[in-house]
Amino acid sequence: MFNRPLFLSAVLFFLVLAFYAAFRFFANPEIERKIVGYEEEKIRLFSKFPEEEQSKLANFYLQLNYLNDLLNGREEISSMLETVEKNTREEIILESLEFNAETKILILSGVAPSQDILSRQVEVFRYVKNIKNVSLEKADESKKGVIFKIILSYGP
Amino acid sequence: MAHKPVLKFLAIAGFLSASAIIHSGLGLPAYKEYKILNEKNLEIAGRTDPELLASQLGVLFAEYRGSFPVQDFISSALPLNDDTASIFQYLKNAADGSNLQIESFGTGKPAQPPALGKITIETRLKGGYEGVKNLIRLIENSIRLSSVKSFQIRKSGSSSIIIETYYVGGLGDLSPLDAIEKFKINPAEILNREDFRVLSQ
Repeated sequence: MFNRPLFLSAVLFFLVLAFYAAFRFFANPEIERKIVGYEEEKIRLFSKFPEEEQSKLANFYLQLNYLNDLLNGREEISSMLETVEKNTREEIILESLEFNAETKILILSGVAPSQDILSRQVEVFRYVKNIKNVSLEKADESKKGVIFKIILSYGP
Repeated sequence: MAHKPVLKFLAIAGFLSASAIIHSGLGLPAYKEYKILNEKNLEIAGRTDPELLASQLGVLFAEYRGSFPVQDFISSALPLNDDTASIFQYLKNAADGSNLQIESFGTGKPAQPPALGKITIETRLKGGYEGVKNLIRLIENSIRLSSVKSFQIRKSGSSSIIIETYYVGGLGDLSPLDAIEKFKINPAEILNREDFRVLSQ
């Protein structure tokens, strides 16, 4: 009784042990050696080229890579200013313009002759392409006219 | 005699539990590592065929040697050092041309290579709206890639602009080969870009 199961469990134990040892001590180190060999071969081939040129080539790729990223994220702010200019009524006097590229928000502060003209101006901005949101932050009556602050949010 | 079956049973239980422990704790992790290494090996082997690699490297260097005029332009757009003196000179000329006066100029801390170095320039200017608008246009179209991060234009004539300009600070700890592998890009991808052509004209 138990002789056969004992034999089979012992065989299973040694098989499991052999499975582990085969990967741990033979297969994995062999692949690691191959990988190191490839790396060494690559370095050997690369080192055939003049050392100074190697660094220049690497820097060239670095420059190209970053240049591509920068061009992808480039935005023209001057055209945005021109759009605001074109779409601002003549009666409106702009006192200051503040822009932040990170938030894409342009704040216009100035004086409008009347609330009616200011309201029409806000309406004009609402229909300008690329302006995502127009918000009138301030419209205070004063002797000079209506002192206002308009926030223009630019979309992507 | 009565102890024998018990001992055998214990031995079986011992073999089975040891097998389970070894398999799950050592055998399976070793096999998983083998699979990862094998994938890496196959991937590298595909790229590292000596003849193919030698010819690819040859093409890379030949392309590089044949692109000297473009390299000069690229180095002007994105230089290999921060060169803040030339930025100041450029801004000074652009401001003069826009009837503006630079009241102050200050730069931020540059980044460490191989990351893209960013220099933040804060300028306070004296001059009108048209001048600032013109300056912004000049900055946008300058051969050295720069972007306007923020500006404040006042009717009173006191304005300020924050500009970011860039440079590549070198390879840092990366070897040239590692850098090429990490940053390799097809030069035609950039050289054929419409915005790049406009910039380089």
